[in-house]
Amino acid sequence: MGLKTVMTEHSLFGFADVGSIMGNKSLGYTSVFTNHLICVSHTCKENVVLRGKINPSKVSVIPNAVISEDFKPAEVKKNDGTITIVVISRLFPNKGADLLAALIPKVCKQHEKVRFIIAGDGPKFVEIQQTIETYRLQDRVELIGGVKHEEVRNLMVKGDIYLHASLTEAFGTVLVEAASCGLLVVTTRVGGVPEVLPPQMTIYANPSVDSLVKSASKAIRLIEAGKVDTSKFHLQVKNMYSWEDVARRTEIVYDSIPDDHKQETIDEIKELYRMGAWAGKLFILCFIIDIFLYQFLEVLFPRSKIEKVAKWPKSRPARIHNNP
Amino acid sequence: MEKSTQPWRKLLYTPQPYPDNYTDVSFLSQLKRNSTVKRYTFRKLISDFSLVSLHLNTLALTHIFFLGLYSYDTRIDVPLTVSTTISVVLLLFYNSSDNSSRVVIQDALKSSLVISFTIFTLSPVLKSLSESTSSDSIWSLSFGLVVANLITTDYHFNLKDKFNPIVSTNVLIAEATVLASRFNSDAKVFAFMLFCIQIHGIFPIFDTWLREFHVPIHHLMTLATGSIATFCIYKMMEFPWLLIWCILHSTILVFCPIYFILLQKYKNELQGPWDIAKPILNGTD
Repeated sequence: MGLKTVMTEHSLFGFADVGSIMGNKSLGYTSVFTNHLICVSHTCKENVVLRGKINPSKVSVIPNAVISEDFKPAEVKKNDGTITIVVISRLFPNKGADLLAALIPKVCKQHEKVRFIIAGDGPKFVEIQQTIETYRLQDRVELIGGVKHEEVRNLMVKGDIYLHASLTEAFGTVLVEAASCGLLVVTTRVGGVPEVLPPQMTIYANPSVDSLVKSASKAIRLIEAGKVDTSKFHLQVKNMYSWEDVARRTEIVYDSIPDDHKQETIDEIKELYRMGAWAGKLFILCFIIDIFLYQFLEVLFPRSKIEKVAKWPKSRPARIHNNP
Repeated sequence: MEKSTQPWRKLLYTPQPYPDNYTDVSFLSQLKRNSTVKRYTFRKLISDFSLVSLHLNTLALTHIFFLGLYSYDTRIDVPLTVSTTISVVLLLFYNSSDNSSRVVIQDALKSSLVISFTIFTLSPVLKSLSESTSSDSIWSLSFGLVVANLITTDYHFNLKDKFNPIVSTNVLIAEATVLASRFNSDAKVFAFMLFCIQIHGIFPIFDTWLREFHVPIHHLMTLATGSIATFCIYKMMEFPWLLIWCILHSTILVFCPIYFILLQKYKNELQGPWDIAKPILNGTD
């Protein structure tokens, strides 16, 4: 139809299994008709460029943001001599739930003062529950289950350290949220995670139980000794990730697409043909069917009859521009 | 945006004087290619492909046995004695590697007796199973089932590693049943079914064990089954069949491995920071 199209990508995919191959091929197909892509991290961009064989200059990196007002640190820091580690994560294998189940008893054994709060649900919930029962940690580990996004902040501020054991992560918004709440972040060094937070807020670990326990212990010692000042995290994060900034950068992307962006159909077909020995031909077939389908729909529901979205009142975006 | 001397960094938390779609020279520097690709030796490949060959041999032996019983009216005792003796000998060896061999042998004896008697009792039923069906339908049905078996067989034949023989073996037993229903005597039906179960049901188990602990005997078995099958085809069938058989085997044993090695250069494995990390759960403490 010749509409300007921008696609946003939040996920990371591999290349090895059948599902990924199918997904990557269709990403390639889509990307031919997409003017620009937005990825949430540089790692995500590398991944997308490889997966869809896309020109890297067609891909911009604009991180996620958090509404920092919703993730303010606690007004009064609790001081009962304990250190609370918060984990908020869906309990799936690729979110590192196995690592979590293995490291909780080890950390609890090494540090008497440590308490855990674990929120999130998933197939590994029962396993973690069993671990807690096996090691008799019921009064030290609080397993909450799924929480609504609005409650995340109230949970986070109960803690001192946020622990993230994920095995793959494109961006990790939850890390930003945790830092914004004034928590020291202990995380695995996977995917786009190393790009997200500055070194003073994070302690990295490898995705192994020993490394995570070591990093968690380091964080606990730092908190105990009062060597990190987490009170400044909120303001720092606020300046790093704001939706105003995201909106401004996204607008630049939108405006960068020229009005005469529509390629000749024959050029699109040529581009599709290069997608692969089999896929290329299949894509062309799909594309031609799409063209016919479009013409057919144009007769049934003419473009002129479709109502367009009303323009946003002009004053609002101007205010955002002036108030980054 | 003006050029800056400040180098680009792969970070999100700090604003950088580069446009959002800037692609640095370090782009994809963490990409690893073909880092987990295994190098295959010709020897290893031949030994792997010989399993396909072995399966063809056992299939051929089954059908030669059928042909012998059906067209040439061969005696049933010789092949059956040979196969049963080999089965028993292998079973004894197999169990002698086990500690609780006594119990296992008893169990094995019990179950093989049960199977034998079941086949024995069922033989008359099988014989009359397809009396009203014409032989042509049976041949085409059995051909279809053999093709189905060839397609569904799990050719790695490693029973300890995600081996799923359910469809292929059942298809083969169904094929044997269909063929057995063409015989004119109960004894032949019994002999044929027993032979089939020995060679397709029990032999793969022994062979897995042989490949693990006694590789030369496994090679010997492959060679022996191949030689017997080739000899029988030479004796019992016309020359073109022998030619097809030999070409098939040389393709599987020589050309397929060569082709496989040639294909390796198209290997393009991509690994990078986006891959799902492998968790290390019980490291050294």
